[in-house]
Amino acid sequence: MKRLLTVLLLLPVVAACGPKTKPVLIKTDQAIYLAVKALHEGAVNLGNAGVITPAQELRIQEAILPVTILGEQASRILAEWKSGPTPDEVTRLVERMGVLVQEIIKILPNNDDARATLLQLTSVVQQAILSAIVIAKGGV
Amino acid sequence: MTPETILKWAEVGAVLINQLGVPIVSMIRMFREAGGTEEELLELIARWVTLHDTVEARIAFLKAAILAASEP
Repeated sequence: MKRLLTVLLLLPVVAACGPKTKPVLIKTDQAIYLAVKALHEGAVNLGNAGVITPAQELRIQEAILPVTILGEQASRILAEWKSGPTPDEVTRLVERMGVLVQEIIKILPNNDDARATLLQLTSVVQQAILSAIVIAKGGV
Repeated sequence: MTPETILKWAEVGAVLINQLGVPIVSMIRMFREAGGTEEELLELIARWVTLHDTVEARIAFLKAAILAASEP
C-alpha cells in the first residue's frame, strides 16, 4: 500500500513536463466525460430510489455542475491545441475531478450503500486520470 | 496539482485499486491503441454542453421539489 501511494504521489509531479499527444488527451477527456455523466445519472437513480435525500442529491448535482462547464472549456481549448504542455484547462479538469470525489464522500458521510455506488462510478474517473498520468510520463 | 490534491487522489486511487481491482493497465493500453480523433472531440464538446444542461435542469427540479415539500 505504501509503495503504491508513493508511486501515485510521484507520477503527477513527473507528468507536469514532457510532450503530450492530442489523441491521448482527447481519450482522457472522453473518459472523464463518461465518468461525470455516470455520476450524474447515478445520483439521479439513487435520488429517485430514495436511497439519498433530495437535499443530498442537490448537493451532488451542484458539485457536478462546475465540472461540466470546465469539461466543455477544456474540450474547446483542446480543439485548438496542437502541441506542447498539457493545456491548463485539461489539468484543472483533472484536479476538479479529485475534489468532486472528496465532496461526494463528504455529502454522504453516513450512507454506505449510496457512497459505495457512487464511488464505484468514480472508479472510472480514477482509471482515466491515472491512465493519463502514466501515459504522460511515458510508462506502460 | 497541489500536494493536497495529489494526496487525495493517491488515497482514493489506492483504495479503489485494492478493493475494486480497477484495471488501469487495460485502460492505458486502450488509450494508446485507440486515441481520440478531432471528430470525436467536436462531438465531445456538444456532449459536455448537453450534460451541463441536463444537470442544470435536474438542479432546478430538485430545488422545486425541496421547496414544495417544505411548504405547509
